[in-house]
Formats: sequence, C-alpha cells, structure tokens
Amino acid sequence: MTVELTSTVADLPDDVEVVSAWLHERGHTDGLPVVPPTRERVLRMLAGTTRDPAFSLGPVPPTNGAATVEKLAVNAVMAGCRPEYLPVLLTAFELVLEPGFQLAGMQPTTNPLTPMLIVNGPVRARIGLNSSTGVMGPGWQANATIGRAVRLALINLGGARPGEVDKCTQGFVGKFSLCVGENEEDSPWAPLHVERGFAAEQDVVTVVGVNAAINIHDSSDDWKDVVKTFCGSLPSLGTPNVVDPHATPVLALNPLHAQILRDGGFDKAGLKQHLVESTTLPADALSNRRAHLRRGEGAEHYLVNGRIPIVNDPASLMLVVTGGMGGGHSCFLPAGHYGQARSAEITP
Amino acid sequence: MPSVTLFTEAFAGLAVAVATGAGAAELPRVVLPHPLNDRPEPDIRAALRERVAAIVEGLTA
Repeated sequence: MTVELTSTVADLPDDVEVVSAWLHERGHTDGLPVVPPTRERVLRMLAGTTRDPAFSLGPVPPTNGAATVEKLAVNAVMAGCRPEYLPVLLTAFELVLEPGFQLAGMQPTTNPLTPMLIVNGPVRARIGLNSSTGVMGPGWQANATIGRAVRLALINLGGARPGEVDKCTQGFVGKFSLCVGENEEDSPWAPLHVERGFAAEQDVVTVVGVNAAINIHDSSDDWKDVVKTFCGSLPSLGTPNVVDPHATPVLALNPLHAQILRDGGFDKAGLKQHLVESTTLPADALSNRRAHLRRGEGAEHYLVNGRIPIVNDPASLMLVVTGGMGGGHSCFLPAGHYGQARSAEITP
Repeated sequence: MPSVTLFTEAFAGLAVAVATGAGAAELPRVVLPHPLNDRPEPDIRAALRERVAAIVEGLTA
C-alpha cells in the first residue's frame, strides 16, 4: 500500500547538524539535536501504527495545529523514537488533547508544568520502557524519546515555543521528557491502571500534569519512620496544589518504600487517606495572595475540617510505584493548577 | 459579537498566537503594563482608564 504524506519537504541534506540547525532557527526543536525527519524515516515510523497518517487526533492549543498521525510520526522521528514506540505516543497525545486535561491552560502557563506519562502493562517489556532503576533519569531510549516526542509535538503543533507562547517562568528538566513505567513486578499493590479500571493485562498510558519532583529520602525499614518522613515532605506552602483543592499531585514511591508501607498495613487507599489527613496546613498558613487564589477555586472548598489539605479528596493523590530497589528515595510531584489525569488503553 | 482582548506586555506574543490559532488574527488587542495582577486596585484602574478610548475603538470600529 502506498502511504501518502502531506508534510512540506525542505531541500536539505540528510545531515544531523544541518537539519538540526535549520529546524532550531525556525523554533522547531527543544534545543537539542534532532534526527532528520526524512520521508523514509517517517514512513518507517508510520509502520509502527495501523492508523491513517492523515487522521487528526485534534487541534493542539493554543495555535491549533492539527495533530495528524503523520505529524506526530515526524516529531517521533525527530525525538529518536523507534516505530514500536509510536502507539504509546499516539495514545498519550489523544489523552492530552481531551478537554478535561486542559492543555490550553498548560501550554502558556508560567507554572513549571508538564505532562507526565505513566505506562502500565506488558508493553513496557515489549518496547524496553524502563520502570526500575533510574526511571526518571537518562539512559533509557523508550522513556527518553517518547516523552521528548510529546514535548516536540507540543512545540511544533501547539506553538508552545519557550519564551514566546510557553511562558514558563523557570521551567524544569521534566519539560524535555517525562515518561515512566510503573514497576508492577516489585510493587506490593495493584498497579495504577487496574486502580483506574483497566485489566492487568491491558497496555495503558496515563497522563497527568505535574511540576518538578521533590526527592523524599528515608532509608529506614520501619514503616513509622517512612510515614513520618512522607508526612513532613508533602505539605509545602508554595506548591501549586495547595491553592487548587482539586489538583492531582503524584507520589512516586520506590518499590522498597511501597513494600515497607504495605508491611505496615497500608493499602493504597488507606495510605492516601492517612497522608492527606496527616499533612494538612493551618487555615491561616497561606499568604494573602495564595489564600485569594485558593478561595478563587470555590470558597466552600477552602477548608476541610478547618484545615487546608494538600488535596481535598484523598483519591486525587495519585500513587505510582516506580524506580529500583537500591535505596530509600521516592519523590513527590506536586500538581499545577490545570487539568485532571487521563488514562487509556494503548492501541496500534 | 464585538470583542477586544486585553493582556499585559509579557503575554503579547501569546495573545497573537492564540488569536491566530483561533482564526481571529485581526481581533482588536489592547496591551496593559506588566505585571498587573499584584498591583493595588487604584493602579489597575488607572491603567485601564488610560486605555478606555482604545477599548471603545476596538469595540466599535
């Protein structure tokens, strides 16, 4: 079958330096070199999906470029993806375009906010997507390039060029790429996608808007120590979710911490309940400005039992088990003001 | 419906991009000083008074 491509073709040599410079001058990169998206490479990328290259997943705010399968494949090539990664990218991008995710608010915000991709199911092993040691760091092609492809597409299709439309005050490195697998194999609990209504054998990607991660370290094997450290680490006056009662912050537990907490008698729901109830702030804790912002989300939601919780509904605190067993490091990724998490089965 | 979009200087590029993306590149625009959201209310009112004529022009042109 002949695949028709509609993208404009520039007359350039297939040379990383030349093509990267040409694209960078036009605001089409994240600042790093890119793989030249030649027709041949885009066609090879499209072999990773059964979808029509012309099909559009929707307009990408705020400039409303069409997220066609072809355009996403172009960005996947530039990011360094392999064709077998493309279904994860396509499904994740469908989710960030859902109205409830509020991408239109995320793209231009001054808040250091980015979509985090969490992948569950057998697809992790099939494509080599890391869910263990160093999961949020360098060294893992699937993690690094799928997340990077999302960012490139947000820039190139949604116009979110840093400093121009993307008004993020400082940014953070997660805006280059943030894609993790859940370490289902070492987790003591049901995985995230099962908690969100999918079957264990399904391949699922979840997207959630997060800020920079705050490392939480405690190498104790006593669950009471670990809980104490978590409770001291989650409440922070300056994090965005403190002024948005309905946000979805993520607590990314390493499997060792998760097992210690399970041994302490916690299931996921119980741990969420305990952490949210034990980390509330006094009613007068916020600055006048931030109190004004929180009241703006609905004065009736300002306090819960006379206190300010990190989220009003414990179910809104997302728990994911990810990373290796090497040490007592977990992290908390506060939520920005915008959007709710979304999950979907990964389809070709 | 007659419309004018108001924004502060820091968001001028964003305003143009959003308007263009929405198919309304010619949407009348009025620029305010930045930052504005942490200014005292009298300062904000003064900034707007200075631009009332431009806002009315945008709505009636």
